Amino acid sequence: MAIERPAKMSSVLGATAVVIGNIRGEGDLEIRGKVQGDVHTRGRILIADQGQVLGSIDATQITVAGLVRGNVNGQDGIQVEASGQIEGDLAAPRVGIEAGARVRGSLRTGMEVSGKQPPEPADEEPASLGGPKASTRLIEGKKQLSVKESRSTGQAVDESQAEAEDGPSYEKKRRRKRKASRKKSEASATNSPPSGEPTESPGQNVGAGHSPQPMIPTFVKGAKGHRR
Amino acid sequence: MAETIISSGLIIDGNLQSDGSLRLEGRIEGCVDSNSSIEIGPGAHITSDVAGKRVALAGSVAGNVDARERVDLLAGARLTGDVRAPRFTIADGANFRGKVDMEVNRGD
Repeated sequence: MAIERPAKMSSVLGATAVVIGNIRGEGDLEIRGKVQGDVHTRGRILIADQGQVLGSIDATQITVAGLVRGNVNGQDGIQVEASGQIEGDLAAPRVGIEAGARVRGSLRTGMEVSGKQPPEPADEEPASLGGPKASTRLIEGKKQLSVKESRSTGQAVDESQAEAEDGPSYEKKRRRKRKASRKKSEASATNSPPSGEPTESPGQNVGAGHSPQPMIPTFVKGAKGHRR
Repeated sequence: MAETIISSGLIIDGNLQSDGSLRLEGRIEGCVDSNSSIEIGPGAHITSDVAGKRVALAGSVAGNVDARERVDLLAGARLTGDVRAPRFTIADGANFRGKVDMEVNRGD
């Protein structure tokens, strides 16, 4: 009665199997039975049609065709099949939920950019509508591209690239500061732009055409375009 | 092929119970209970009791082993605990420390 090692790495928890406790470690795991506890592994997890996990799941790639009561956290991704049911929060860079799947909980995707705000899309949109010169727009577009490219590497690269294309970074910071202060002043119900701002001299191309309801993004952009 | 397979990288901090057969290569920090056969591979480590219909042991168990039909200690097995089974074999090279009870009368 010899016991040889199984050829494939993956583990299977059979349909009649019940684990009361946590599962950890590494390797792929298919759960057809029931787990009352957390499953934290490095590897793929498949919760089959009749499988149940009453606890949280944390693994590289998670496919749910059964029932999960607990949070599901996938380092690579989560796939919820049509027969899948999750009562808990989902977090993964990529999440797929098929039609018919039942999910109740919050969903968070794209974790690798979670700490970083997108580069203020409101800033970019009005650029096409109005004021600034074409060259500014071009640079603006380029900058946005570079931000997108460097998203995975993080803020530092973004900052330095922006500096390379967009002049010294202190200027950028000043612009941000100004914008923040303007937002603040708007919040205090003053529709007219605050006085004493260096960018608001009437000779400027945007300042001239300003309605009492200022469009901040255009405004900021115009100021920048002018300075350049 | 066993219904449940726990491969070598996996660790269960708790009990594992099944009606189907088990093949254990990983580590189980708790009891193992099956109504069918249990194969405990060379790399497996179980820190508590094992109960099944047939138990084949090539790995390490620190706990009592209880089987309705038979227990086989294979070469390289390491068992610290008592054995209760109507049939019991110990292969050359197996390591065993504990008591044996083969007078098991159970209604099955």
